[in-house]
This record gives sequence, structure tokens and C-alpha cells, in this order.
Amino acid sequence: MAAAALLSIYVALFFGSYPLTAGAIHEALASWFHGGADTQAMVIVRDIRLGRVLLSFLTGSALAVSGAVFQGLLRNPLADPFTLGISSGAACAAALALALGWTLPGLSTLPLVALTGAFAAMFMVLALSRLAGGFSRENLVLAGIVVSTFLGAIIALIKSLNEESVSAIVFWILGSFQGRGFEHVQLMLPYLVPGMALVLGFARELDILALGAEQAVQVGVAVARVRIALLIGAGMLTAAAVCVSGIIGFVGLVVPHLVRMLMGPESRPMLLFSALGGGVLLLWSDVMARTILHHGAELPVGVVTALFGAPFFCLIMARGRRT
Amino acid sequence: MTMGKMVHVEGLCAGYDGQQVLHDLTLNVSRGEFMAILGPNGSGKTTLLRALSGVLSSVKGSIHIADQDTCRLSARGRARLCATVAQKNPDLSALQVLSLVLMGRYPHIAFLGGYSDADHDCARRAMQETSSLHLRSRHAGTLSGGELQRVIMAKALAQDTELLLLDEAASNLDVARTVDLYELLRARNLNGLTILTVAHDLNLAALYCRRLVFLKGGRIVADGPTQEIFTSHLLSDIYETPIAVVPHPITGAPQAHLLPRA
Amino acid sequence: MLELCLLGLPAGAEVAVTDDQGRMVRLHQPAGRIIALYGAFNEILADLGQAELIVARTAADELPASILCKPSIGTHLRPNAELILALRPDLVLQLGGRSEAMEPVRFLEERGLTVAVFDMENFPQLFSTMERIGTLTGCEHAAKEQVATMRAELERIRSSRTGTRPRIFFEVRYPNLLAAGQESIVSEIMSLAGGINCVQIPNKLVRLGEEEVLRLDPDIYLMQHGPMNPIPVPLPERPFFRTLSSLREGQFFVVDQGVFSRPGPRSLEAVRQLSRIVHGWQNRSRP
Repeated sequence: MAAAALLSIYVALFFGSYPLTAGAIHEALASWFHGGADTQAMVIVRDIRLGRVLLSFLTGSALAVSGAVFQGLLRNPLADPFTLGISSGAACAAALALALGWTLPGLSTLPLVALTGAFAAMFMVLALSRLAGGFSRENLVLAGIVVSTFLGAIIALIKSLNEESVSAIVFWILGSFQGRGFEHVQLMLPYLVPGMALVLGFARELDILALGAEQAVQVGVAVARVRIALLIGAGMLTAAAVCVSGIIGFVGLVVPHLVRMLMGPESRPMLLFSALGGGVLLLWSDVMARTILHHGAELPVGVVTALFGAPFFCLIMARGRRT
Repeated sequence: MTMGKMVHVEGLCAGYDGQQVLHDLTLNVSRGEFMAILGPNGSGKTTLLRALSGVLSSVKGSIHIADQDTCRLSARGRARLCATVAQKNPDLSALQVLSLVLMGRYPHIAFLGGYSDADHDCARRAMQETSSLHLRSRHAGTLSGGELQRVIMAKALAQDTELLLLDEAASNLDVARTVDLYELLRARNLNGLTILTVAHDLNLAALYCRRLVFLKGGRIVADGPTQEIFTSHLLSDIYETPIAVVPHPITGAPQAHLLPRA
Repeated sequence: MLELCLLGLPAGAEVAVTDDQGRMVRLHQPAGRIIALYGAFNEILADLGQAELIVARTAADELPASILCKPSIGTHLRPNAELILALRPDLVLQLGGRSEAMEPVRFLEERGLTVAVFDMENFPQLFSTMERIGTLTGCEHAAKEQVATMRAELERIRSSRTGTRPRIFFEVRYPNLLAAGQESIVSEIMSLAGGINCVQIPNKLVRLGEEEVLRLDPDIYLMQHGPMNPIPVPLPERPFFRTLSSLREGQFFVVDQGVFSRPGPRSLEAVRQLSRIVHGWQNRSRP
């Protein structure tokens, strides 16, 4: 699987609207090590294609792993970054920034604003859930729905007050890697790495939580602390993904289900394979998004994943019923 | 507080959401006892067990297990002292039996550490004892109620504690399996395991347990050696229905029989 | 120009035109209270000296300046039908081309208002619309003169173009790059000004990857500034574009969205501006 991931990253470099020979691609990659002039091929292969391929892979990993964690944590097969309102938080903040024309000097404003929004929404959900009496599955899902519905209404409000910004907001909500690259990889890593570490570190506890909170306590799991740690970890992963790509659906939902069907429910291998599977899936979805139309026109990658994800999910559900 | 006490409960008040279930309860259990907690529905048996296992938060009074204040212990620390078999099992569908039993080893592994060979041995022994070793690669969701109960039992035994709490552990089992379970508990008890079990079946408790504690309305109404307190008078009083007690034809243990209210 | 209008049809005469939905729009007398659901109509009315006929505007419209004091009837995409009805206009003007544009039209017509729908996606449509608005406001003659003047200027610019035609790229929005395609009025502006749109895709708006921009390597890079692109990012600050010829040769310019992307009388100004840019490119000192 890891080999398939590496191979995917390599093969994806060959796709793009600018015609390049295999030799030119290899040369551009090699120039990394021995330097060389700034050629068109170098910019395209190294900066544009490789940056984007890596970013889509990492984003897919982050989405799939956070989806897997939310599903395990809430013991709800339909949970994913959306259920907890995190994606809505990011989208709402981004919409606000687009409508008000906020900019921070020297930084890409939108990702940072989105990140803040994602965390704000997550803490809103946690606070609401706590107010309702604790981090039980029902409270979290309910709080998530309340918060994301509320934020959805705010997005709609911003859109109707700001017709001129609608296309930018809609585009952002559909999710895309257009024009993203290494600088965004750098932007997401500080959230991706600790998020991944936190989630993998508590993988065993995540398994035990399947026993239910009470029995998990009885075998020695500090349930409240573990839940918060996992929520923060998965929240960071979602935020990392959403802040560089906008909202991309279905990866966080489909990949963990598929991996669980193939590998069984044990968390540590399941999370690792979700990371690889999610990465590969989103990477190829993005290749499709940027090459399927003629003349270099692009589709938002969120459209591709939703278009293929939804029927695929129906298939999984039908198969799951038969077996 | 004296050494040698496995459980020491004093002035325990516990309940849910402001509704108090247990009132000022005091209980001592020595090491090596095999004790049943009996009583009518709603008397607070399960609440007592949950308070002991540390899952109830609104608790007044003190609970010591092996001379340690359980309120001051982490969940992990408590789980090293006492294992619990709950009344209801969660839906575990695709989880593998071996993984499930290994969860009992969780309080013994290091943070971020994996299960060692010793942990695997321990889980294997526990499954052998509960005759569930052959189920190890099955998914929990495919097991029958009785099989699952044995696996859960194996998980508790794998936890390797000095105290075992059970809540109606035999409720899903047929008669043969019920006897198997109690025989296993007796064997473990003879090896030094202290056992507290909540039971509905009066006769089973009288057959295996040396000490009985009766709860009613959240208070202990009777506590003593089985032979002394398992009497027609006391049982009829507690359960508010006429009950006759006769000795078991073979073991001589007192056994209860219901009387039709003519 | 105002005098020309006064010399037009006498008040009380019936006026009629066919709009771009193929319907006959008939008024018993030239319109006296007009509400435009698209800003460029106001500019057309102002150019005809008829700005005082405008009784309201949509929230974003700011031209001519005299309409800023008029009440707003909601936004261009979602006009408020009740506000419009309350102002009792005798003519409502709507821009065609979008299916959603017909919703308020149907609603207003069902309540007895007269609505004319005009397309303005290119210069011929713009001119025809100007003439028909002239008819409906009773200054057909002034409108014809106006159109003739504009046609003449376009012709002058067209005939003055010489030399190589630069390949031009028009950025509608960045980040999330959006470019003007062949069906955009920007394409026509480019060709009138002596260039060609290097984006060959037959849509109004096209999403493009950065890689495609490098492949196209336009001679002139235009980025619009306006609500769609509130903060145009200067080309030198975009890492992916560092090998573009237009960057190397300094051929990148910020232009106004209102002038370039909104079809209307100001589209002529766009041609004027772009033609200057094209001349600059043709006379650039080559390195």
C-alpha cells in the first residue's frame, strides 16, 4: 500500500496540460539535487505538479484519518469532519473573510482564517456538548448538527448579502487544489503532524472505546481525557485539510469504511491504511479534476469526489447489507 | 482500616442525577472471599457495583480497594486492582475475539506500548480457562450470547486483578454454562481471587458463595455467612413473598423455594 | 443631447420594441419611471440624458452618481419584487442570458408591470439594446446618434490596429484562477483592441490550472480589479508564474472589473484602454 502511494505520487507527475516528456520530468526532478536554471519544466514539475500532488495526498490522508477517528469516537458510521461542524466552521470563516475582504500582510489569509474557524466551531461543539451534560455520542452529534446548521445559515446570509463574492465562496466550499503547492504543504504540516501523532498515539484507546464509556473506564481508559485528545487530534487533521483545500466531501466517509471492510476494525492498522488510501484516492481525484476537461480547464476536486463517492458509497451499503 | 481487607466501603452515598440510590452504606470484604450481593429489583445492587468499579462520579463517602482510595486512583490504577464483568455487552460486531480479550491487558501496558508476548500468554490462558480459545479469530458479532459472555469473562480474567466484580454474569447462559462459570469462579477463588457478584438466582448464590449481602432500598439489610442468614424468615421478609428454605439434597446448602399464594 | 430627445416623439405617442425574449413590449407613452435590474441600463439611460427617469437602483449600482440617492430595490441577483411594485415603475429593464433572470420578470409581469429583457453579451447586442431603450424612452434619435458615435470610434480603433496581434490572458479571479473564455465580452474587447484571447475554451468563464497559464504563456496578462477579484495579486508575487514572458517583459496590467467585465456603454472604454496597452506592447523595447 505504501508502495502504491509512492508510485501514485510519481505517476501523477506525468499528468497535466503542459506537454512534457518523461526525460524532461526526470531532469526537472533531478535538478532538485544538482541545482540549475529556473526552467519552465522545473516550475511545472517541481513547484506546480509535485507540490499539488503531495498536498492532495496529505489532505486525503488527513481527511480519511479524521473521518475514521470521528466514526470510532462517536460510534456513528456516518460521522465525518462535517458531523462535528468543523468543516462548516472553516467554510463560514472563509466566507466571512471573502465577503469582508480581510487580508493579512505577507500570509495567505484564507487558510489561516479557515483554520481559526474550524477550531472555533469544534470548541463550540465541545462546549455545547459539555453544557448538555458531557461528551456522549448523542450530545456530540446533536451539538455538531446544531453548530453546522447555524454556521450554514450564516454562510447563506453572507452569500445573500454579498452577491459579488458568491462565486468565490461557492468555489471555496466546493474544494480545490487549484494553485496550491508547497507553501500550503508547509502551512498544513504544523497541524497535520501533531494531529496524526495524537490520533495514532491513542489508537488503542480508540479501540477500547468501542466497549462503551463505562466498560472502557473499567479496563483503565481515562475516557474523558482520551475523547478530548482524539477530538483535538482529529480536529487538527480536519482543519489542516480544510484550510488548504476548502471542503472536500466523501473522502473522510468512504475511505475508513472501505478500509474497515478490508482490514477489520482494529484502529492502528485501520488508521494507517486509511491515511494511505485517503491520500491515494484524493490524489487521483485531483489528477482527474485537472485533466478531465480539455484545454487545461479544471473541475473543483470536491465535485469529482462527490460524483464518484456517492454511487460508490451506495455500492458499499448494498454489499454491506448482503453480507 | 486494616490490612488484609480487599474492599472497604464507608458511608457510601451514591446515585444518579440527584437521585440517591445508596444511603450511607458500609461494607468490608476480606481477601479471598466469594460473596454475592442479593436483593429485590431496584435495591441498588448494580449501583454498588458501579460505584466500586469507579464509573459513578457522584459518590460521597470512601471506597478503598486493597487499601487504596479509589477516588484518588486513575482509571488505569483502578483497573489494575479490580476487573468488572458488566450486565450488558456492547455491540462489538466486527471486533476480533483475541483483540477483545487483549483489551483486558490495557492497564498493564506502557503508554504507546504494544501488547507483549506475556500479555498474549495471559490472554490465551484466560481464554483457555473460559473454554473460548477456539473462538479467538472469530468476530465478536458472530458469537452467541453464551460465547460472548465467556469471552468477556476471559477479558476480565486477563486483567489479572485481585478483585473481580460481576453483575449478573450468568444471565445469558444456559444451565450447563452457568455451572461452568460458577465452577470457574470457585476455582479462581480458591487460587486467591476475591469475588463480588451481583446475583438474581438465590439458589446459585447460596450454592457457591460463602457470604451473602442483601440490599434493600439502598441499605444493607442482612450480611453474613450463607448458612446463617439464608433463612425462610429473612428471605420472605426481604422479597415480601413467602419463601421456604430447605437444604440441598446433596451438598446441604440452603435452597429457596417459592410458595404459591393460595 | 437632451434637445434631441425633446425633438423626438411627442408625449402620449405609443412606443413599442421587441425584446430579446422575442416579446413585444408596448407602452402607451414613453417610459417615465424606470427601474433597471442591471446597472449598465442606468449608464445607458444617463448617456441618453434620461437619468432622471430612474426611480430606483440595485444595491451595488453606483453609476451615474445621481442615482446614489435613489432607493435600493435589493440586489441584482435577488431584486425585491415588493419594493419594485411599491415604486410603480412604468418600465422595468432586466438583463437576459441567465434563466434565473426570468423569475422576477414573470413575477412582476403577473402583477401588471411592463418588463423588457435585453441581452448585452457583445457590442451588436449592446448597440441594439441602446437603440431600443432609446425608443422606449422616447429619444430614439438620440440613441441612434449615440450608437453611431460609438460605432465610429470602434471602427477608428479597429482600423488603427497594426502589427502582430498579442495573445492576451484575462484573469477574472485569483487565487482559484478564473479566466475569461471565448464567449465573454472580454474576448470581443480583446479582438477589437487588436489582440486575441489566448484562452480558447468556448465559455464565458473558465477555471484554469496554473500549468495551463504557463503553457499558454500570454504576451499580455490582464487582471481585473473589482468585487470578483478584490485584491489582485501582483504577478511577481506569484511563485508559479515566475517564468511567464509577460512577467519578464512587464506586460501585466490591472484593469477595472466594471469597465471590462460588465457589458455596457463602458465596454467602449475597455476597448480604448486595451488598445493603448496593445500599442504599448507592440512598441515595447525588446531586450
